[in-house]
Amino acid sequence: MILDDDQILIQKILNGSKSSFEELMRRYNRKIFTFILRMVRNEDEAIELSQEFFIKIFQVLEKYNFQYKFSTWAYRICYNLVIDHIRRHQTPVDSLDSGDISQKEIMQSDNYVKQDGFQFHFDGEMRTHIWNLVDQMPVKLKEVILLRYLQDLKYEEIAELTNLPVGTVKNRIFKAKEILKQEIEKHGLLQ
Amino acid sequence: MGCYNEIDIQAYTTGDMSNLEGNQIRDHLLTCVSCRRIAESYKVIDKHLQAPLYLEPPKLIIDAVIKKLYPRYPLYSSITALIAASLLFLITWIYVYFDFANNSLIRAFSLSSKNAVNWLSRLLHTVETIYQITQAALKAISQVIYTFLHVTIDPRLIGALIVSLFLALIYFGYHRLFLSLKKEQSQ
Repeated sequence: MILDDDQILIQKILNGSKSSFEELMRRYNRKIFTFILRMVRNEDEAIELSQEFFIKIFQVLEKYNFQYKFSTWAYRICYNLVIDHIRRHQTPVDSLDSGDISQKEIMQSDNYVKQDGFQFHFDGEMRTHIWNLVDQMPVKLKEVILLRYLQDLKYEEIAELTNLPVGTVKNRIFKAKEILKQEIEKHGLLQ
Repeated sequence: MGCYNEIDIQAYTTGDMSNLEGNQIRDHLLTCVSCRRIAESYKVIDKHLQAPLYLEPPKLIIDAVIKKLYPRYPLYSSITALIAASLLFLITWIYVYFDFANNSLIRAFSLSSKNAVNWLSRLLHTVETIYQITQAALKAISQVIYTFLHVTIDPRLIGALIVSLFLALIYFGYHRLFLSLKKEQSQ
């Protein structure tokens, strides 16, 4: 079997290499931390959860199956960790168990904070604004956007991770983008 | 042909539809300004989403995890203590085996303790006492064996065996302790 870079590192870690584990953490630290922080929106909790994630990875690394991509396996562990955390600390608005999400519901969400109408002239500012809007979305929409664009997962992989049908994943991503479009149109940024 | 809904237009911009449907929407966009504007909007959003803003994680995450998973043991001090203990036992072993009858080591400690400074004197005196007790104990054990078994065993041999046994116990005990600590920390 041909091993990719991550899998070569994992083999070294399983043989007791501390520096390989450090290297693996450095590779994933930014993506994992960003994902967690955008999901929980609290830096202290994000730091704690990131540490918990890496310790968990280390503890269950022996169970990793080399036939699958390490990143997908790791993201699943990260996703479950974050969702468990959110479930434990959820507010009624953040409820993960509610049904479809309407536009009205999103606008009424505690997570949703309207931005002042700045004019954005640069791509960088537009990008920041879009990602700020993503941060403020309800968990149901935010998680699929983050998994799709931050973790670069396919629809099928997101569906498997979140235990949702592929169609629902696609719908949620469409819905999230529709909201983004409406919000930035409202600020005159897409004209 | 009528306008497409936003979901279809989004799917077109991200390439999530069949060639046939995609071509139909592409043709429609050539003639419909409002749908084209919608498609452009989604393209812009998609472009910015595909270049995510990563947040810089604090360095303490990796440091804390490494500290937890790979704790540093006070290896050097433990090994130094082990070597010191081993040396003491080795000297005792040599004394018991080669110097038992002459008592020159005990006499040397006794003489040194009288001339040394206060704390060193006490230390040398303690070592001298340990050797005297060791000598007396070994002679007593030898006598007991002779009384019950009518076998004469040289006290030096008994001493050498006991000291060797202690030495082995120290090594194995230390090794086991070290392994169990390491296992406990990694769990």
